Amino acid sequence: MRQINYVVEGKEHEKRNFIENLLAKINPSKYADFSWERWRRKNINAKGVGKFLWAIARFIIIVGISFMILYPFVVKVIVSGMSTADLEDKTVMFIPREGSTYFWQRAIQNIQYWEALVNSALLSLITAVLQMLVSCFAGYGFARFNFKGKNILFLLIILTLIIPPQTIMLPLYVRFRYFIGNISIIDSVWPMAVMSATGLGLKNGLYIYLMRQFFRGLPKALDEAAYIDGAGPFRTFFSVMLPNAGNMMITVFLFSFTWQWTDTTYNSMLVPNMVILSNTVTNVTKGVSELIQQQTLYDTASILMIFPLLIVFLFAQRYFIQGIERSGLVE
Amino acid sequence: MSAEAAAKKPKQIKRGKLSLERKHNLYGYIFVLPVIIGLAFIYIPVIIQSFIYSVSEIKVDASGFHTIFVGLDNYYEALFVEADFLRTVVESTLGILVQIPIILIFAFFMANVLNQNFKGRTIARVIFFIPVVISTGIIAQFENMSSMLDVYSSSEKMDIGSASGMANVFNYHQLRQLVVVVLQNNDFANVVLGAVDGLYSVITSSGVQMLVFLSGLQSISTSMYEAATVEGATAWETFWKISFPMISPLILVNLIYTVIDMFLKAENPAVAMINKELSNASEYALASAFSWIYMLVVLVFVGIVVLLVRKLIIYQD
Repeated sequence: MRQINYVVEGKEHEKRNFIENLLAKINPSKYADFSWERWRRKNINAKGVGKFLWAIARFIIIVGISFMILYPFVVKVIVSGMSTADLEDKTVMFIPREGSTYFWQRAIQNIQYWEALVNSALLSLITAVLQMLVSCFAGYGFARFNFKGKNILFLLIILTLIIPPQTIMLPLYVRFRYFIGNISIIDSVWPMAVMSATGLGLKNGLYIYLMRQFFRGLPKALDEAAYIDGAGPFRTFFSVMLPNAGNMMITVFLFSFTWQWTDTTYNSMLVPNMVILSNTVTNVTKGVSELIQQQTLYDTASILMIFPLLIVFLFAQRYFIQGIERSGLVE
Repeated sequence: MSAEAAAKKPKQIKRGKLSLERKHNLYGYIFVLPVIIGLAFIYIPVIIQSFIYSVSEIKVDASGFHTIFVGLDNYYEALFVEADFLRTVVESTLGILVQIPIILIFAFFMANVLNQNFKGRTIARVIFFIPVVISTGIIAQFENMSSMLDVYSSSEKMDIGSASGMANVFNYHQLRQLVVVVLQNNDFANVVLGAVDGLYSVITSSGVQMLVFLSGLQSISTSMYEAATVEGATAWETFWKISFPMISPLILVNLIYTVIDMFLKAENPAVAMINKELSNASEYALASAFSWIYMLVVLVFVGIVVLLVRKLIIYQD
């Protein structure tokens, strides 16, 4: 306050005050010509104050909700690091007294973690990539072409979302059990791959719908420009539409990866004996009869399943690009 | 060049142009071909089979299982004999009506917040992705198991809490007690806790919608915002004139997804009922009838929602 008054008195051109000099010393390139006067004019006005208040509100909202989301998660991590004695000990609240990796070892062993992790990752990757590509194709087809039967076809896709997957499990099982003649493809990658490649995977209708809506939201001038330049529909799709759909494709990939990773409906029916996390994780309490230890093992297993997904998300979201330039569009 | 094209055009007459457009539209079939194959060879046979089950009686014996056609008996039983089913469906539908707008508005708001530039944005986005993970599949089942134990332990006396399955970490029940102690007012504490509970369930069921909105917002070209700023638009105007129309098609997807998700998630009492019957081999036919009735309810609901909201959605084509 005092400094601001000092500046208002109008002698600022002769002497910089103490803080200005200090800032200039700390980071000369940024603060060399720092002046309270200018800073004040820029920031202490209606707009600046509003911005500042919003930043505070935003901070509170984000930290508050993050806390609500993280709290159960953190509790699980803490509990999983306790020893069996810590669990029973009433005086232990947050910080384990002894701590042990017992539950981690037990959980990793019971669910065949490393083998299941690799298999789950491969299966999820295959289905996610297939579902992403098929959804892009179909979404574009529905968004920009008027072919006969389009509406009925689209209604059927919405229907695949609405019919609960467990309803069709038995007929679906029979379908893959006798895939061609008497050949069974149950317990291989094929049921998942076939379903994903034909847009029938878990919640695949949502991705197709999502891509369709996204493409419909893109300006039509984009395709038209490409057509005028002599590109065919495929060229237009690959070189003009897809580059714009990057963020949506990543989103679809993440959803389908996550849902395949945690799915039990399709996995338990179509690949019941495959060593993947969603199958093996139900064995986590094998050989443990105490309720409290079982609970802790469930918590540990949840963390073991969630953690790889968060890493995948962390990598994928780096490719979220803000407002890529619309290639070939000049307005 | 355009003059040349304009001069050429009249020669091709209308018929030529039409067939060109039709030829162009045929490419649509190629784009949706995988889906057509899937529907024709897998999905449609499978749902027809499911429908056949719903109008049959299923008998399991040594040589496998057989279906005997019984007409609409299962449907009659589902609607009029099992009185609980219809009541459960109606009740859960009414509950859903309230939650849908809250979830959508919350998701839209949070997506806009997460789209802004601030320090720690990456971390915040990762944290907000957690609800997507914990609300699905096996992890959701584990969560439910935990909360069931939670309820169990809180119904017991607290001093045997640890024996009944909860670890001695500050659990949810203790957290509630703490809030009551801090606020020193039971009624007020209940209001606060109720709001927090509600907020938590909104957060866990809006993760998907948030991510969809966020990626939609991220896809809007920055040059549009720059142009708006140059023209002197305020943040409010920019939001309503650029952000909102650009992602309005996604609002419809999110709306429909929210409806379907609320109807189909395992905690929904109607779905729980169907699942219970499905796990019982002798009731499989009845469960199929339940599913078909329920599916019609959802379909009608989605149809109404689409008709109501359709006018508000802005497409570029």
